Amino acid sequence: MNKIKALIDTIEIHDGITRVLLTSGINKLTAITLELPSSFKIGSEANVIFKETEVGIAKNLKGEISFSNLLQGTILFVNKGKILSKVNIDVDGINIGSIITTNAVEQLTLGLGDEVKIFIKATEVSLEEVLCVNC
Amino acid sequence: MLEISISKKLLGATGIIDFEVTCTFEKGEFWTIFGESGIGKTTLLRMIAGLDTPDRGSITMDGEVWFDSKKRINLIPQKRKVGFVFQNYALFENMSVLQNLLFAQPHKDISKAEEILEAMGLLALKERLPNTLSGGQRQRVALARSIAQEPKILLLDEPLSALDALTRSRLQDELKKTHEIFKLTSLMVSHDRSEVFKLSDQVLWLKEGKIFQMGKPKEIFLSKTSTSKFSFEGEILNIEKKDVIYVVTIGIDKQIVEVVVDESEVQELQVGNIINVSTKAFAPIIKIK
Repeated sequence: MNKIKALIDTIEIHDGITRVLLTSGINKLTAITLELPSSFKIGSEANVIFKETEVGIAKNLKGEISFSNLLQGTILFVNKGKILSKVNIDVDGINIGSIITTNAVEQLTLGLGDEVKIFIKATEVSLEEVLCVNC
Repeated sequence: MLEISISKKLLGATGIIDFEVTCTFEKGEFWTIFGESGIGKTTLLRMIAGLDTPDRGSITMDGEVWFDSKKRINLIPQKRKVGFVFQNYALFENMSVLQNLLFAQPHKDISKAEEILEAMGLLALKERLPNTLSGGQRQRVALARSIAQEPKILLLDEPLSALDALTRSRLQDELKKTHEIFKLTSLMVSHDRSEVFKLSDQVLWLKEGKIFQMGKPKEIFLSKTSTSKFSFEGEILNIEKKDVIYVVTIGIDKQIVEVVVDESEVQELQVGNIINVSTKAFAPIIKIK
């Protein structure tokens, strides 16, 4: 599970659907949720959570893409399995994990030190309250 | 309006429990008393009914004092105007359905009894003896009989727990309908979250004899610390490495599910852990069975 601490910038609510924009150390992030618990407020901290299996990777990408969360980083590690592979990407000092198919790793010839872009759909991003103050 | 502020030492499953609850139940509301067994849910109903006596405190219904330890007031159950339905409710087996209702009425009124039976879809059974009825029908008659008592409050102690899943679900709908017709202030004991969600206006969640949470079911049961809407409590049954991922098998109620997790998460997990498993409301797929 990827977890990034971020500050809530904007909360937009329409008809029970909520769009939350956050600023983290690495980039702006977007989460789409249904009703947002009342403890989440503009200016408050939240953990942005998404599973490795929801993180896509692109190399030499040109053109536009609908994914709201787009980050740029460098590959730290590739652990190739038979069908699935785990790729770790450093995004400005934060380690993001991605689980993609080994087939994709080979097609993109992903390797250590490669510059890549990573994507997470906003509807796959969860927000969690930061419960402790000093951690 | 029922106002209670009571305390009592109870012998629970894990030892002595200091039961202490203060709460106001507004007229016409359907409340569920929710929580694990052995923490005083049934005792709370029994104390309201006058079948058990609190150590201290007071119980007041619409301004009338039913119990007050300081003033030494303790009305007997018959004077409290309470309707009580249990899991295995005893009907008078030698009386017809209609006679059972008439017996319960404070002022015998056949047309009123028939009205209740009609509203609950039981009129066709009015001449039947209880032992010719199904379990679901018996519980409906039990409910009708409690309503015929013209109680100020209806106390339901897991009234549906002895029934099979289908009958139970049907009776939950009936109970909801009945509540909408008669608008009786109702307190039901249940530990079934879906039942609580379906029926209640308000939930009183007890833990270790104290109020843990109180409010509307949606506010209480949906997670307040995370935006995950699809969330269940379960137990880890197995953890297995497959390729570069791990598959965690989790028992949730009577179902077993599998969840894919990353190596970084698996280190914190152990077989036997009680965990919360959740996903966003956007991911699950619904199919009609």
